[in-house]
Amino acid sequence: MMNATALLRNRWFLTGFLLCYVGLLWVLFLDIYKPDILIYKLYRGEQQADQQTIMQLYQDLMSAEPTERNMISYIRLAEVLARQGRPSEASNMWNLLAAMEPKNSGLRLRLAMALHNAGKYAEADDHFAKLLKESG
Amino acid sequence: MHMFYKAVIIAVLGVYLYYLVYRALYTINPDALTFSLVYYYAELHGFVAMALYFFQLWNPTKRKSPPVPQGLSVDVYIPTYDENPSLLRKTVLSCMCMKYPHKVYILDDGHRPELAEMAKELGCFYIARDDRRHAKAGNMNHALAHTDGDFIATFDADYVPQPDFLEKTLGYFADEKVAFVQTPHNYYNTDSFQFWVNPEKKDKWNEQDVFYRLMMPGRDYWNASFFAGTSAVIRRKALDSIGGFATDTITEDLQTSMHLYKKGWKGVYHNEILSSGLAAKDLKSYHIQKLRWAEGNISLLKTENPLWIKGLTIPQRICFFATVFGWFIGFPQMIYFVTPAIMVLTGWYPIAPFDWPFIWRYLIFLSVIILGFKIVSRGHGKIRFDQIYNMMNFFVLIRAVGRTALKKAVYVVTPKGQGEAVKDIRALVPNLAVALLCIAGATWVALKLYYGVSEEVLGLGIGVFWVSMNGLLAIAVIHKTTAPYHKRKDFRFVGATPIQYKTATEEGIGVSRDLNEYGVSLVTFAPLPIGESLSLSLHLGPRVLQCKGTVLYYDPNHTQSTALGKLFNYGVRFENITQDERDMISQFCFNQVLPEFLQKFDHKESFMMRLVFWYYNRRRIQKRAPRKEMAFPLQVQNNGKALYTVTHDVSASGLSFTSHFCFNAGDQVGIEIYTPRETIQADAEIRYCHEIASDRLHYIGARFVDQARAGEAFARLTEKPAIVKLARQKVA
Repeated sequence: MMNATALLRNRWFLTGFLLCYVGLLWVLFLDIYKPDILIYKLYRGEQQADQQTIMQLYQDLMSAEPTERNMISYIRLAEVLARQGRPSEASNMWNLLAAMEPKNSGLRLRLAMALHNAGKYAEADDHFAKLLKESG
Repeated sequence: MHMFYKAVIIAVLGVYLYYLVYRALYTINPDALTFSLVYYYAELHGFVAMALYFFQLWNPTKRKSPPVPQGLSVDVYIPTYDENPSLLRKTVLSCMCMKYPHKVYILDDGHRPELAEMAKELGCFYIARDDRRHAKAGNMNHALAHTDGDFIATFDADYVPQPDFLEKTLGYFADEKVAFVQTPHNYYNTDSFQFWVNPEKKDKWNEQDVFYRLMMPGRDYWNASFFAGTSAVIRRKALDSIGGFATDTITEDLQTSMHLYKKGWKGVYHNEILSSGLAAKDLKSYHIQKLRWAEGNISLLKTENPLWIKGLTIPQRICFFATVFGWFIGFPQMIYFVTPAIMVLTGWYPIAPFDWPFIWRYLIFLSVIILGFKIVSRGHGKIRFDQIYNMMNFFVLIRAVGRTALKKAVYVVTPKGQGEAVKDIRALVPNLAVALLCIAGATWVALKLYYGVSEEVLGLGIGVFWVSMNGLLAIAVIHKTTAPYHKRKDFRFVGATPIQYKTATEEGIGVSRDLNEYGVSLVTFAPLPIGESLSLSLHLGPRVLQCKGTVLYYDPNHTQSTALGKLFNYGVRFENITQDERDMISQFCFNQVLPEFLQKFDHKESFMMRLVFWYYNRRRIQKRAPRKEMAFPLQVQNNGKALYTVTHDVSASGLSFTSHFCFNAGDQVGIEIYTPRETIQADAEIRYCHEIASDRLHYIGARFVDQARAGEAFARLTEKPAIVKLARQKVA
């Protein structure tokens, strides 16, 4: 009978084990990053989704806290929302991101433009003014 | 040259310090504060460890043995508990064979009648005691009360000294303040998992080499080398002044040394391998040994902290603290091994912002640290191997810290002998866990990039680089320690000696590839009958051993086809040889084969010196005929005496070989080289004779007298390079 040491040097065992291990990780990854993968596909135009799905994604992200790790999904969904004709929701997302990183002028600019597109000119002007002030 | 090393040390520590300050001021990540601080602690620990390491290497000593006075009274102690008697026999025999007058004592804590019998047979003394209090230290203290030598040489049961051990060490005691002389520890079973041997580059690496070949001479400069338990000589008067070997911790050697220094004694480190022992037989035994050393050293902090105890100089305090601090490396190493994987799996960054201003600083820091470490380690520091052994040990060292904090350590004897690298897979669980974590990390990064859920290519790229490095280290440990080693009962010494053989129908001469007292791997020019008996004449230096052997198997892996014909390799077992004959082979292996192997594989130059040698050798190689390493039987005729030996290398203009006696430069000798195709005869002039081991092994260089005639014959040995070059010139 093969002992554990021999198993560790058995190529067939190692190949089989690694395939199973990587497969398990893959399944786990797809489960954890399911919304992020969908947002990426929507953003790239590789997949279409109904309004209900998009709004569900929007609700989920808005109810969570954006972090450095998933910030990219917020940005992408804001872009998708803008393209879908939902500037108000898009501006809400940019607002969340700008609040997370108040010193990030790029995010503030995107927020200001999103507010402008949503017809919220007064709020947009405030942010444009702040940007002008910061740039000296 | 010392100034250069000192400048490098200061520059490297300066860069490290700047990096740490920059990290503390700008790159602690508040979003993952604990994680970030833990990683910062590992870097800070690394700085302290490096500063202590460099302090010890400030100015390593290079001592030459002073002349030894006659008439000293020397006792040799061999403490033992449960080691194999056949292993102990080699040690006792070699101790008996040391040339300087002495008495040998077997200190048996195992009360074994066979050892008492062996002591009687070999003519040494046997001491046993009623209890086992204080383990090895207690055993030696008991012997101190029953012996009267002014100097005590100690050897572990597996440590075999060279015949000139005492002559090389006793001379230092002319200085009345010298308490002990320590020599390097060395292992002879180079097929152990603790070794990395590269036969092509003539390079070997063992974890202990840096400590015993470099750090101990460095500590010697600060008068802070220490008695390391074996391969040392101690002055009885010094031991008496501190009440004998220390018994408060399980590492009696380190504590004894500290006691001696506290009393104002001096220590000496003689950096020449004069004895060799067996590396732990498997990973479990190795970990037992590591755990004991670590626990013993760390427990010093509780019993006698070198930083505060009275009587030590400041450099001694720093050096002894460095020894203890070195055993705390487990936790920071674990942080280094798991952080990259945790970073890519969780998205927590230990360093933030991870931007270009940090990255270029980091790259400069890393390059300076690696280069500085390599330079200051003077050719001994091999980062890859160091890291593999850190990976092998990190969990044991963490355990040692925990156990020492919780309870008093208990002395456990390290099992010695041959075995498999890993029998119990539990010893590998930490490495398997790191390997799996790293595979998960690398997979995660690949999936993140494939599915586009992250755009942090730079952060993930650096993360996956370190994940891969750590994963490869863990896999290297698993691969190395699960390899099927030690199929033989005892280690075979790698070395060539001529062996004449006779079968029922023919006779010939061959060369050993490896050898021990049970058998030989024999290279011949003609096939031998498997299973049949041979009459053998083994040329063991000045002695010839006639014995019988049986051809057990043909080894196709080491059979070669050369331009000169085929070389066959057979496994031969010695039959019906007496214990005295076995002892003769064993002595030959330790006293001649091992020093030659060490001479070939142990010589290391510093980084700078290698560059210088490379430059000059390049020019020399262009001028001289190319030399080719080949081990063929060689007979040298000198003044009517015939010496059977083996060629080391041969060229169209000369050859080199080893001999048990020295020739004089300018001597004319007749030589015969036996090759598969022909026996080549020539006259040669001895050019040089270098000593490998005093009075018993010399490296000889000779030049053919009739260059044109001999050159043609020997050009066939060196095969193509010289011939092809000449042919091309003619065509042109």
